[in-house]
Amino acid sequence: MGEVMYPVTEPGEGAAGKTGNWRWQKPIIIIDKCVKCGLCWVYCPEPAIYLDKMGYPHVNYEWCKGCGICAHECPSKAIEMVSEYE
Amino acid sequence: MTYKVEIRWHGRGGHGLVSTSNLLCEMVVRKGYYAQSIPIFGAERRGAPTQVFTRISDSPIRKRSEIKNPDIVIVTDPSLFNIIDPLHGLVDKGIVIVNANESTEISSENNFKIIKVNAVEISLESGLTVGGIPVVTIPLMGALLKILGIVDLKTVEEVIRERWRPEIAERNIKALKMASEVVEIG
Amino acid sequence: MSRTKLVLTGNYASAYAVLHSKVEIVPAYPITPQTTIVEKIDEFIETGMLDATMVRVESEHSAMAVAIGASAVGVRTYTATSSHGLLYMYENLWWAANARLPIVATFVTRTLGPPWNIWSDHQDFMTLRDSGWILFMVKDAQEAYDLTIQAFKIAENPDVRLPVGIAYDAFVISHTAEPVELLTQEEADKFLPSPRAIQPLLDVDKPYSIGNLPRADYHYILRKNLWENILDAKKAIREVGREYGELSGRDYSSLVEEYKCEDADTVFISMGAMAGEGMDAVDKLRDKGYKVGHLTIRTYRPFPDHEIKTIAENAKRLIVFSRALSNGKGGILYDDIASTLYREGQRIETYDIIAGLAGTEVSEEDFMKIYYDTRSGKLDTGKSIFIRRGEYV
Repeated sequence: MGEVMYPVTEPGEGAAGKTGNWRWQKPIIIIDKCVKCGLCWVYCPEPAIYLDKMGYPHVNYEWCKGCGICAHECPSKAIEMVSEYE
Repeated sequence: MTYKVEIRWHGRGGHGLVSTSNLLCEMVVRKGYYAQSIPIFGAERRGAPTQVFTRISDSPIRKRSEIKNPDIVIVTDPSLFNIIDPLHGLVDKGIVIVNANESTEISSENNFKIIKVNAVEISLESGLTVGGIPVVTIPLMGALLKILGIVDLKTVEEVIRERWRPEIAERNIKALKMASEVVEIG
Repeated sequence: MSRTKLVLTGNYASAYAVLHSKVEIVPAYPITPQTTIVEKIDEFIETGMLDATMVRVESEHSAMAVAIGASAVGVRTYTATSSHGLLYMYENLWWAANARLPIVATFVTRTLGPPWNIWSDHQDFMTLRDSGWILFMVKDAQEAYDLTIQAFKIAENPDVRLPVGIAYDAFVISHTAEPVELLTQEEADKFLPSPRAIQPLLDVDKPYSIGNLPRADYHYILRKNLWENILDAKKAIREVGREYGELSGRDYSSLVEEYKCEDADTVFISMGAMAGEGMDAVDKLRDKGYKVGHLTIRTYRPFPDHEIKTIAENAKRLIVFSRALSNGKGGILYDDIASTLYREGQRIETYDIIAGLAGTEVSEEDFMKIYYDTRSGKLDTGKSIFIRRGEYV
C-alpha cells in the first residue's frame, strides 16, 4: 500500500526561497525615536523583524519584502521606508 | 410452511399508527418472527389521512415497497370510508378491523370479514387517553393480536411494561385485553 | 452480557452504531429525513449513555467545518445530512477528503428540488462520487448499523485515512422499523480501536499548516496519492468486513452482495432499498425457470470493478437500475458499469434503467417487466429507459 500523503507543511524559513530581493523599498529603524513598544515585531507578516535583548527591533533583510506595514504601524515614526534604488 | 402476513393501517395523523405498528413488530420479533413497519410520509399532519404498513414473516423480509394486497386492513376512523377506499387491494376473504360501534354500517361487496371494535369506548373505559383523546390504535392492535395468534399475552405484557411506566402500562394492557375479548375466532 | 435484538428504524440503527463506536463529537444540522439520527444521538448524550459533544451549528456547511477541525486533532467525529443539506455541505466534504480526515457521515438520500420533495432518490449522494469519500450504500437497517461501526475502522486505518459515508434511502430505510441485532459494547470496544489511536493532523507539539498553497507539481502527486489510497482501501474494506463477520456472524468481506448469480445469464444490478425488490423478483423469475441473479453494489467508491468483471464473464445480459441521472448523459450507475466493461474489454448486452426518481416506488413487478421486455428485444441496449410504477415514460 502507498503511504498516505497529507496536504500539510511544516513551519520553516522560506519555502519559496529568500524574499529579500522582492523589495523596492526597505525599512530603516531610527533607534533614537524607538520606544520599544514591539508593534513592528507584532505586525510584520513574514516575520522579518526580531527584537534584541534590549527590546529594540532589527530587520532581517534576507526575508523582508518591504511591505511597509511596520513603518505604517510605528506610533513614534521610528521606521522610515527608503527606496532601494536611490 | 411459510408464514407471511401483510397489514395495512389506515388512520389519521396523530392516531399513533406508526408507534403502534412498531410496537406490534417488537412483539412479534420477540417471538422469533421477522417484521417490518413502514410509515408513509408526505404532507400528512394531525388529522390528515395516513397509512402505515406492517409485514410479518418467518423468514427475513427483503422488499420494502408499499403493501398493495394486504391480508388485513385496520381502519382507525370509520369516516375514512367516505374519503378513501381503505379496502382497495385487500385479498379475497381478507380481514378488516375497524374502529366502529355495532350500528355503524360498513358495506362491502366482497367476502371480507369485517370486525368492528368499539375502540373509543374501550380506550375510555381503560383510561387510555392522551390529553383527553382516546388512543384507538391499542384496542385495534388487541383485536389484531388475537387474530394473528402468534404472540402470547405474557410477551405482550412484557413489551408494554418495558415501554411505559406501570400506571400507563396497565391501562394499555387492560385495553388490549378488552379488545381481544370482542373478537371471536372462527 | 448478551446481544440484543431491537426493532429500530434505519436512522436509530445508525445512532446506535454511533453510540457503540464511542464517537466523541457530533456537529450536525437537522434536515428531513436525517433528523431522527441526530435526535437519538442527542438523547444518548443527554442521558449519559454517550460521552460526546453535540455541536449545534447554524448550517451544514458549518457542521462539516466543525467536523474537519475536530477530526484534524484526532477526535472521533460523526455527522449526518440529506439532500439540500448535503449540497450546502459540499465544499467542505471535498475539503475533508483532500485533508485525509477520517470523518464518518450518514447520508440519507433524498430528492433534490425544486419542486420540494422529501422522498428518496440517489441524486444527492451521487454528487459525492468523485470527491474522495469512501461511499457505501446499504439496503436495510442492519447494514446501516454494521457498516457505520466498520466505517470508523476503515477511515482511521493509517493506510486509508479517508472520510467514509454510509448512505441509505429516505423513509423506506431511514424511517422503516425492523429487527436489528446490536453488538454488545464489549464486542464493539474489542473491534474498534480507541479514538486515541487516531493520528492527529494538528498537534501542538509538532505544528503543521494544513492546506497551504503547494506547487502544482506537488499537488498533482497528492491527488494521485489519494487516488491510489482509495483504490487500495478495497483491501482494508474487505479485511474489516471479514473481521466484522467473524465477530457478528454477518460477513462484509465483499464489496458487493451476489444473489443467485453463479449460473445466471441475466443479472440485475442495483443499490440501496430497491435491491430487496430485485432479489424478490429473482426468486419469482427463478420459479418460472429463468436463470436470473441480482448484484447489490454496497461499496460504491472505490468501485467494485473486479466483481463486475467476474459477473460479466458468466452473464450475457446486465440490467442496471440507476436511481440517479447524469443530466445530458444517462443513468449514473449504468455509466459506471459500462465503463468497467469497456475497460475490461467485455462486450455484453447492457440496459440502462432509470427507476425510482423523485421517490417513486420501484417494485418487484418493475424488475420482472424489465426482464421480460429485454428478453423479447423490446428495449434498446445502451439507451436510457425510464420506468415509473410499471410504465415506460
